[in-house]
Amino acid sequence: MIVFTEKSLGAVVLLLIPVALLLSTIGLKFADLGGAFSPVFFPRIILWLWIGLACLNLIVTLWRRAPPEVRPLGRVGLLAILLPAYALAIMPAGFFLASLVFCLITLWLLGWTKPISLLAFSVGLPGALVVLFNHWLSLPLPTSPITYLF
Amino acid sequence: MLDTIDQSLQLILTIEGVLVLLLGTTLGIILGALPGIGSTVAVAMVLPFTLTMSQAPAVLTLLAVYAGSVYGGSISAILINTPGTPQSAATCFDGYPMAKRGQAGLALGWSTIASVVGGTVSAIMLIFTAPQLAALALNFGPIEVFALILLGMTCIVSVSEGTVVKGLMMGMVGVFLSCVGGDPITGEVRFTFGDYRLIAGFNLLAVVIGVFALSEVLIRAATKLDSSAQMFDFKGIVLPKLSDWRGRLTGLFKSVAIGCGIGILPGTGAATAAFISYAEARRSSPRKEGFGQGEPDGIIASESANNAVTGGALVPTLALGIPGDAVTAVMLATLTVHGITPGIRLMEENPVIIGAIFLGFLVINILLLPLGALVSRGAAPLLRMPEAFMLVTITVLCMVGVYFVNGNPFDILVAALAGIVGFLLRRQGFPMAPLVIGMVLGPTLEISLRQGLILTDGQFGAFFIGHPIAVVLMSVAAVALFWKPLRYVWRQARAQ
Repeated sequence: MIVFTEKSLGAVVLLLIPVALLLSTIGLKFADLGGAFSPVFFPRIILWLWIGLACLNLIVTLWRRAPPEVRPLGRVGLLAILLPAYALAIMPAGFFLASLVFCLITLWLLGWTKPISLLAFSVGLPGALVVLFNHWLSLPLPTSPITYLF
Repeated sequence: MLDTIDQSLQLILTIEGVLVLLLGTTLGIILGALPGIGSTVAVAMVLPFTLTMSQAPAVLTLLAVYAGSVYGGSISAILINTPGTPQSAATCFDGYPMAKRGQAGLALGWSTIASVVGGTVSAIMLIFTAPQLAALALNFGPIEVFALILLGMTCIVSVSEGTVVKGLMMGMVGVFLSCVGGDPITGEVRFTFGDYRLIAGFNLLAVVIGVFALSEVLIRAATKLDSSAQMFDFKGIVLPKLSDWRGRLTGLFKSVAIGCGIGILPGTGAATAAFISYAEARRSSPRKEGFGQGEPDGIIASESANNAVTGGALVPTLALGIPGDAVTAVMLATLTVHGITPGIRLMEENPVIIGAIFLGFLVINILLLPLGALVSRGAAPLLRMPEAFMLVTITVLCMVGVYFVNGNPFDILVAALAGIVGFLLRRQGFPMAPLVIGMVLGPTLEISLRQGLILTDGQFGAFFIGHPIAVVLMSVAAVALFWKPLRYVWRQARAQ
């Protein structure tokens, strides 16, 4: 019986991705002369190599039958949600406000609980970067809808 | 040019000349150390200020920023595992493990000396052999470049010790990621699935910062960290002792030669040179088993090669008028604005200016040592902050750096997602270095292979006929790729 561990599941996903990508190239029409002129000529070679290596990896993973490891994600799971949320918030909320909130939550998640230094750092770091880039180097970071200053 | 060297010296030894060398190099180091700014942005930022300068100081300013930024990239690569520039990505492999061991200052010492030597030798080479080397570069067509990149790709095997299948797979993932977006030959769009934000492809630095720096932040967050503990005990650069150089000089000069050689080939770049040099050092170093765990030979290979490229890249730029990369293209534009026309007759028509540029470039590379030490010392207090603050600072700086590459918010999202994917892959034992190598070398590999096939009417066998340089390079690549498995099989057979 095959037991799906995190590793074997990962190996299956890493096989399915190139297969799906390769299938997506079938039937594509390009204004090309064929052969090396085709835009998918090179990617197809790479995808075939990827599939071959992914098959090997899957076989090795299943062959070894490593005991299922339970490594809880814990706070890192929250951080993994926070990272793309921060990335998406930078444009609408501006760099300063998005970073301030990100710093506050992340520092707290990482176990920093002293409120004054938590707040000072969360305001100080993004603030210093805004002053450096927006007002000194004239390389503007995204500003908030409230004011052009930050 | 050597006849007019005294006049060239007079051009540099003015207050304006000395000031631009000092300020330009310092600014270059600082900008290079900021993740994402990179050489091209650094040079582009300074360009408007040079328009009011006279010829020699204008070009020297840009050269100082260029050389300084290439070196500066190694500072953040070593200290926070975030390459300031793509060419410093290979420096992370051994620089960051040294920093984690509490040897950040020494790692920076190795990288500084290697950078100074690499840059200085390339400057000397530029002074004496620019026209001859430019002629040599013309012998490299797409087939030779393909063979060279193939050789570079073999370093995927060497950086995946113990996990070769996983490493090769990550290499293919990297090459594939570099294929997303516009086709470099026909311009057709591929693998974007209707998302216009993917037309320009995945930004290299966004992926590099994601899989190296942000995944490292997540890995550290996943461990039981003491939020108030210092991440590094860093006080500034510590120069290696003379005796430590024993047995490393051959590797250093070999890497410099690789950097100079690759630098003169238009379109290859410093990142390629750093990876090829790293692969060669890993193959030939007597301390190869320590690579990836904080071996100075790895830092020397990467840093000396990427700084040696700076001089090499000026060869086709000045002697042929062909810019090797975006930075030298900006430099070429500046020369033209100032009434200097690069090309074969450049050395004959402007010997004094060109002499001043070459000599100034030599001085810039020597200045990297004291100015690098100064900048690192200034940054030291910032790096002694508690680990929780450090991790947050790294994340925020990464986002800023990625945003500045193209001013594109999509790149920030790519970096964040690359960080998460990198974290998950690293949890399963996948090395990240091959992915970056694949992404760096992928575009050149694709273009050169397809151009070569178009030139030979689709006959790959023709790559081996009439292309001796390519045959030699591909043979070395084959040996590098199959040497270990063959030796293993041979030993097993003998044991039985």
